[in-house]
Amino acid sequence: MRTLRVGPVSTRVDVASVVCSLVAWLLTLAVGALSLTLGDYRIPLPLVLETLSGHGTLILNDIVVNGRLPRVLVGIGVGTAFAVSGAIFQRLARNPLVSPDLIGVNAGAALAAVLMITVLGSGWIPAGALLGSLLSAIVVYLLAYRDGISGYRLVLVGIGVTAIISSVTAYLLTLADIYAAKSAVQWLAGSLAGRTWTHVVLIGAALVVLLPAALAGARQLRLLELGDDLARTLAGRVELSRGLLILVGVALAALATAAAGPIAFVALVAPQLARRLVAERVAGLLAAGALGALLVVVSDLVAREIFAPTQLPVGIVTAFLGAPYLLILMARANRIGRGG
Amino acid sequence: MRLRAAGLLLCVAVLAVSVLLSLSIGNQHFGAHDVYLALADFSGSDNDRVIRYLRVPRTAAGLLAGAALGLAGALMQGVTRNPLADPGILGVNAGAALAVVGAIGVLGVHSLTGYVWFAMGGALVATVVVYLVGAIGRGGATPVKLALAGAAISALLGSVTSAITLLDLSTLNEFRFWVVGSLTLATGPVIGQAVPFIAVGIVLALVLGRSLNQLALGDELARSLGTRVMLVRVMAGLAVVVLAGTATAIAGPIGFLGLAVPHVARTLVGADYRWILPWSMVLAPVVLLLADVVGRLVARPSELQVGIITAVIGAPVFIALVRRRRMAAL
Amino acid sequence: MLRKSVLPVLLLGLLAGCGTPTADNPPGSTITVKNCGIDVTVAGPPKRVFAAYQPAIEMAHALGISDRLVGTAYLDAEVLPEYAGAQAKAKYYKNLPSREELLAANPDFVLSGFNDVFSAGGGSDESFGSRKSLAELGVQTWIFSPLCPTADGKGDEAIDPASVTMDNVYADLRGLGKLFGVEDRAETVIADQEKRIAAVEAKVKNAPRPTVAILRPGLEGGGLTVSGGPDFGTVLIKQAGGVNAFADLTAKRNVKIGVEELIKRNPDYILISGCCDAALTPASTQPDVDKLLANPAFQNLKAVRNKHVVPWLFANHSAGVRGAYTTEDIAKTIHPDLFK
Repeated sequence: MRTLRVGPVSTRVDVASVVCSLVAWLLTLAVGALSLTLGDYRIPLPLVLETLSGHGTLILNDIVVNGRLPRVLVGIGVGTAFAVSGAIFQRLARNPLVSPDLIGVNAGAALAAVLMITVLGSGWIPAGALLGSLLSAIVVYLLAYRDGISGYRLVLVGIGVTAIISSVTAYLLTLADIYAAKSAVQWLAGSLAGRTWTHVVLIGAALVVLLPAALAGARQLRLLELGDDLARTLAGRVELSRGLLILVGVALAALATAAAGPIAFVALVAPQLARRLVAERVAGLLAAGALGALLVVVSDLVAREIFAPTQLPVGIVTAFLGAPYLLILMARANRIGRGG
Repeated sequence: MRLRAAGLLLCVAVLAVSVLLSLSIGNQHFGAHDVYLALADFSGSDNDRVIRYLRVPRTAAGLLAGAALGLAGALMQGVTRNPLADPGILGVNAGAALAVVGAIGVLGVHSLTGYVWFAMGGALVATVVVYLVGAIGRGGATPVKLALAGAAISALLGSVTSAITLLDLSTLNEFRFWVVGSLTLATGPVIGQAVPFIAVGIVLALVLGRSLNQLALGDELARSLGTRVMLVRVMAGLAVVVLAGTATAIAGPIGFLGLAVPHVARTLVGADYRWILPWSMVLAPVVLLLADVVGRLVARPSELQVGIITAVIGAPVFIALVRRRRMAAL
Repeated sequence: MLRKSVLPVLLLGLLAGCGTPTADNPPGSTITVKNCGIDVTVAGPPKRVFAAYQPAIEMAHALGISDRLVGTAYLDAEVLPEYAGAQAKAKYYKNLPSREELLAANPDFVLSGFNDVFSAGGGSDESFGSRKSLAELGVQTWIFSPLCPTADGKGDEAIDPASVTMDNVYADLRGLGKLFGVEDRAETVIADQEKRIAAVEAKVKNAPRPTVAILRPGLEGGGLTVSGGPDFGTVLIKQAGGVNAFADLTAKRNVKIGVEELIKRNPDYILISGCCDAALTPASTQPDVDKLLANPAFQNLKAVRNKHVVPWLFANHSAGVRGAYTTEDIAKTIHPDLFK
């Protein structure tokens, strides 16, 4: 019965998903354009456009093309990546609270980044953060593996590993001088400040490679959603696609964290919003990605302007926006008890 | 029974040895005789001063915070029937931390005496929120739900904490040393002020042993045995907040001690909370003091804060628990 | 691509527009001075200088280029009395500006007393960007040589201890004198510094050498932060006829130690290094001095028993034109009978 309904449902949803994504993308672009005009150096929109077309002064060019534009683009990229990663994890674990934030991916990246900022004082942070997040993800996965992977065990082991890593991170912060410590705390909160075209290339390349993989996996994901019992006929392939999806999800979160630090709650909130807007039971990866981008770009604008000229890291704002939603979500997430 | 009592006495003896080690080992090592002289016949020499004004306070802090965290962990595990309960996991520390940062950064409180109340208030609010959120829905406050709620709320509180510290550099500078968890934060007078709080918490906790045993049978059965389930929960919650809050105020958020030690106690004495509680109370300071002694030796001329050591020892216990138990049992 | 081709043209235009050629610098000729391994090239004396941190601000005033300051940022304490008048007229930023804010001031030269403003530091919004990236905009930069990092973009952790000398301060004065066309003034300043320091050195030549610790105020997590070997304080204490009690700790400028370590080393003098407010005076750190004096654990310290715990300033032990002043100041403290 159910399988029969999958076809029509998915078609209908795809339309809604596309519309939702489009609207979110348009809003993202509008906010992005606004972001290009605001800052410590006020530049009206016509001048921004002039600069973008290559006719600005050297300084305008530096501020708009080398400063604000990559910042907005990195924001869009990491927002998309976090949200898609979150959507994948939430699908796999069938648990709205399972997000890469909680399973150790971010903690490893954070430790590596803080190590580089405070102790080594050198190196390209995204590279170290990427390495750190992959390592910690592998450790969590191995520790949680026991005749297969259970979503809950993954999360709980993630919490444990995160705790150890965070305490070492906190220790490193006490070793650093206060300015390095501040810069590290800023990174830890998730920040788009000072992001360059290299970061854009990093997250862009990640999306180009991983997004299609995630979308292809989404079909499999829908099969998985029917439950392992029904999909048992495809047993081997289910395990395989589950593994690949975890890999894609971890890679997206790791690369996004490498580019912008662990921006809180985007991976958790954006897919949930997408679900509410689009439909209850369908992945809606694109919609989630679009909403993630919008969330980050809006939050960064707020973060830059609210205490100007002092800037907050974007992650603080996403946390403030995401927190109430999270509480409502947890209160409503009775399903979490299912099997746990 | 007799064995467990004898064991407890043995634990107390081990604790006494740990105290002696904590007083004598450090940047400079002292013999037992030096320690005795410094305490009994204070001459004002360098050694006497180091022992009396540096080692004694941090040892006292270790004793108090250790006992408090061991009890708080055992209580939380008992009252939630949750083997993963710990003040760190369940967001209590994050609540205390945020309150302390708010006190430093927003209200300008700079003495540890001032922090205590904020730490306890923050611990209380976080505990209540985590429990309420975790208890909603089918199955009540299951371990997984509580752990998730704790992690999520810790993340949320952590963000607010970061925001405050980033806006004010001097707050960050105070906070970053506090948040690691260390026995050298509190001075003598502050530790003195903590004593009554911890004492009340200890009495409250030890009285609850029998009730926790009945609670372990499930709410229904406990009720039929005449236990006032709600009252026990509230009392235990109160004790946890006072113990964990005060411990956090004097030593910062020290993680995993409250998780690991009651499990060790349970392995040694069985499931009877009348024994788990006192054993946890004695064993936790042993671990904390020894961890602190290790911390003094590994990074000279600086020191490694005790919170790092307990996390490195305690978190593997947590992971082992998660792995060992079937999810259904959690 | 476009930016690259347009750059040289714009750069020339900018320099031609701003740099008014002086007599000994005929149009078209440029002056190049090496600073921390980077060629600093100007076509005529810079006209719009941004000075970041106390040592840079004081050096700018000492060189008599106060009227060319378009901005000064982040004082650690009150400036020396001889510069107070000039500083009162300068535009002051309480916090370091962001790159955008800096560029909005339209400087052609950035003089920094510390190295961290040019370090990437995890993409902190308080970084001006690397020196190379500023040079591309026609903004020349200078870091105080005793704090040269080993590579552009690096910070405090990359100081070469051999460069921590008063001679390097003189080299900076000469280099800047040449760039700014104030060589005579620079030589006057150097001569004055040399004369005053030599006078102190002569006086303390045969005196016993007490040990001096420079301590940050406050117990940080139960530990203390002291100035180690690479700190400029080591040089200044030596000139004043003392020995830095922690000179053997050479890993960093600021070193964390346990409280018991201070008791073990038992320095003769303790200078409390208060910091970071434009209105700060030594008296501001008196409360920290009192706290230290009252701590029962420290009662046997020679410095405590003899009341040789001195309220002092972080600004005093930064490399720069305070060198002579601080040498005299420390000498008066630790050799009171020689300086009656």
